[in-house]
Amino acid sequence: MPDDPIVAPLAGTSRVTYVAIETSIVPTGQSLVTYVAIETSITPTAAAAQIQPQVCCIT
Amino acid sequence: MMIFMDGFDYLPVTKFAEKWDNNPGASVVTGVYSKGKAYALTANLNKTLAANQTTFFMSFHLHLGGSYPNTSLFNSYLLFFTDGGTAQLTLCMDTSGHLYFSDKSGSGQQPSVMPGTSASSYVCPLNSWTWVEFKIVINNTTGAVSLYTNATQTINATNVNTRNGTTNNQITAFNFVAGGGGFQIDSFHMWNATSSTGNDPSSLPYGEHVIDTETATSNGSPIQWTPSTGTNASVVSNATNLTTPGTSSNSSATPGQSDSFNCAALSGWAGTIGIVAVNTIDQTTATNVLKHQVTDAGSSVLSGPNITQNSSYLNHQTFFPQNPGGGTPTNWTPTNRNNSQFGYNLVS
Repeated sequence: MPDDPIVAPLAGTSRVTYVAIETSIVPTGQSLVTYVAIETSITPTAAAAQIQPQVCCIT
Repeated sequence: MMIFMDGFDYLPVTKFAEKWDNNPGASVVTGVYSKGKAYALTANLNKTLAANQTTFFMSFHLHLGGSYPNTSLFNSYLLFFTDGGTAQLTLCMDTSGHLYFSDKSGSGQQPSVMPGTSASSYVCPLNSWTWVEFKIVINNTTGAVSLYTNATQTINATNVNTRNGTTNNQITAFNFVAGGGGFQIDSFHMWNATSSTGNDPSSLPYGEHVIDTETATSNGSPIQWTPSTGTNASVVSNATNLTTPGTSSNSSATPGQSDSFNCAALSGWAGTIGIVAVNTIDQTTATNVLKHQVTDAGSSVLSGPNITQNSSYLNHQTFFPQNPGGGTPTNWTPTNRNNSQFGYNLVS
């Protein structure tokens, strides 16, 4: 028996070999947190004093 | 009791509406003491309050450039205090750098000083930061205003009419106004006269405070939500989530589940802590309720009030006046702030 012949696509034939549907969706019933920031209100004492612009006067 | 606070350090101006009312067409610039960010007031910034306020306090760092006399300040309002969109009174600056309250909210003229009050004697220095804090009581006969500049009281008036817009003794919102002063704002605090615990303010003066903002550095314990990518901590500190909220997220549909994070230490500050605020940018696809939590090194937990989430990403803020303290809450110190974990719990 000869090997199966390689069958060339017939002219005018359309072929689809795979289908994938991608849907971007938020899952239902979910609580979502995307960012956390901790703000601290603090008096600028020691460390701040070190970075304050220093103005010096020579008299 | 603190009711709103913003160090302008993490949200881009295009996403301010997650925390304020609007996305101003302005910019953030280098903050006070050259740390973090400040808001450059070239576009109005509006905030509707969660609850109406009659007696309230505000404080912030204020910076302006230019030179005196600054004619661009001729018609320059700094703040509107409004009830249902109508201004009750305004905070202004004259062309020589004196802050004052006005009962006028029109345009095209220098707002006049509110009857019974006077302009601050203090001249805000150019190209420098001034610490401003004030109290307002809204009433048409027993109203009051008091203002401190760099810790010195320079306006004080009682029994004045601070209710010039509506017949309600209240404000529902406030608006920073893009005047001609080239103002910059940082370390914004707003509180009311309700007593609280710790160093949570309920009067004047609060004293100069900066706002240090830090994010998660690693997972703490527990970690029970599901990250969409990476670790829970890497999700909630991903800067892309600020410009495009929800690029990644931690999710849960199971009440009782918590995430808790180790966060970066205070960036060099070593003063007295007034209060700590936990902020999350979050949403729900159902009708979920969150609460923010602080856990100390001994695993004691303090929880905030319930937060009803929105269907779009919004910033929610909870104030913690004290540290869990091993079960007996104690005032914050830089050490226990740095050793605490911060996070959230799904209530329902």
